[in-house]
Amino acid sequence: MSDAVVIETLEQMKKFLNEKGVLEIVIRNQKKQIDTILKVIIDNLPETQEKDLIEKVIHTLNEKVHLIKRKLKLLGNVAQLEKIGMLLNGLNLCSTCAGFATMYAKLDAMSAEINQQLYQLQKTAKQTQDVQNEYEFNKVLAEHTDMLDSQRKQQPYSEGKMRELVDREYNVLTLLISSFQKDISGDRSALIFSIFSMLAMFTVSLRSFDELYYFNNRRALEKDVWHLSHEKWMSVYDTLSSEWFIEKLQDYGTFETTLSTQGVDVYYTSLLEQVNDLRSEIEDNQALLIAIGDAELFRKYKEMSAKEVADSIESAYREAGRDLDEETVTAAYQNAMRQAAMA
Amino acid sequence: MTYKDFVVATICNLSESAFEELKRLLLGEYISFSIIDHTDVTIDILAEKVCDYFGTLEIKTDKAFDKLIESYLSDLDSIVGPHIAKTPQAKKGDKTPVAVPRSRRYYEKAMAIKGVKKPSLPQMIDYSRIMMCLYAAAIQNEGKPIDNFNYAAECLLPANIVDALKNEKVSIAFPPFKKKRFDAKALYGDDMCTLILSILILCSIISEEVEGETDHE
Repeated sequence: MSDAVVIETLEQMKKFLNEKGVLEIVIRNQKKQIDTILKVIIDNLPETQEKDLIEKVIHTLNEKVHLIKRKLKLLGNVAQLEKIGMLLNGLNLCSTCAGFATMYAKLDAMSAEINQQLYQLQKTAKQTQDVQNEYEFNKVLAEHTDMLDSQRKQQPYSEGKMRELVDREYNVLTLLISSFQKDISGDRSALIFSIFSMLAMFTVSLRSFDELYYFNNRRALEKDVWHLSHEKWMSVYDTLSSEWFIEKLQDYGTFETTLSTQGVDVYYTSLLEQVNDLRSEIEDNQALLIAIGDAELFRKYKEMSAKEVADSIESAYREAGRDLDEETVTAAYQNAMRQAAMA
Repeated sequence: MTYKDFVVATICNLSESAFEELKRLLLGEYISFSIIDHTDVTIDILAEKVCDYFGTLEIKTDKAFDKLIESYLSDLDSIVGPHIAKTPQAKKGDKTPVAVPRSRRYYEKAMAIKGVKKPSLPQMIDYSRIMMCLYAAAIQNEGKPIDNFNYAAECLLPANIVDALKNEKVSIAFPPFKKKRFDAKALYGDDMCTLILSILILCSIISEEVEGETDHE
């Protein structure tokens, strides 16, 4: 299991699953265009065999989606410590309740540290209004969970409520980035993790908001069919691909971890790619909305993509369970699909 | 480290394009084949020839490969070091912390590696990567001190760097004169060994360049 650095241990994950024990992961297709929701079950598997199988499945899926073995090896311990795999699956983990629960737990544990850094930043900027409360990091985490939960219950947020969430996540993200830029003292590993997690959360929210906004308003708006703040929101992806940000990531990898020069390359290029991937999420979705045009059709398209995901899980199970007998693999897979369907 | 281990680790794992670049830089000028045509030189053949070179070098200079590596590290330092911007002095009474130029921070990290007795190959690669990137920035800045630089491996164009190295001059005390540091006529000397090692490591670094996933599409 030395290569499996994506998710910590199943034990830890179990604490944060919902009552159905579901973890939902979203996967992009080959063209990285549409992501689909993949539901994987982490059950109380008494057999070590099955438990190993599940861990291998997650590992396989993550290998397919992101880091290849060689890169993982280069990152080694640092990947484990920095939770790189989790970051690179950020979008997946931030788009569903059960998935986000995993992120939430990690982020919540850091929130005291992060709030401290944000507070220091605001002191430095000599802000007189009491903005700290509004932008408190853990409040945004709770709101994001609430948004996902509302979607799950089929009572999604209204356009207005969604926009407020997008704005708040954008503001917190901007503050986190400023903190990073100004070298506010504190745990920089936590800060980097928070930035990329918040970016994933923000991407999920913005994508949902775009869908709502488009279908609600396109008859009224002939051109410029996106919210007026859209460009401002998208600028955060530019900031995170800017030279100064990349240099700071390189500096962090070089001076604050034990990574070799090649390891640092993997570290910062993976994160940079993540920024580009998340930006594409929004842009591709916008193109898709315009191309499909119809809300019902759009919903059907998303369902179709979900089928691709199911096939993807199945092949991941087969690949991971190569050493096990057919029955065990099939049982584990069917169990997963059954519980996922119930989720 | 033996030279065989070094050659195996650097040449034998090169990607196709990096190997072609290596041949372009080495063959004809520093390494030649009397019978085999250059286009027919494979990785294994070149590796053998380079091993022979280092073997001969050890005998002629009476220095073990480890000592030659030490010279390599020092030579790079004496070439690149002078180009690194110095940390500004703190002004009297000024309490704001002095910002160390980014180039100097990385240079000092490289110096820490240089201080290691018998560095491993990964350490040599780390050292070389930092120094070469700093050197590439210095070349771009026309020899003026640099306070920042591009860390990305893609900024390392072996041909440019080797050309610049070939133009490096050292001063002779008497008669006062500047001669080329790397004289191809003295092929079996410390200096040329540094140049050959630089070429090998540069090609190894660009071969291992981490490409983003999007580049594969």
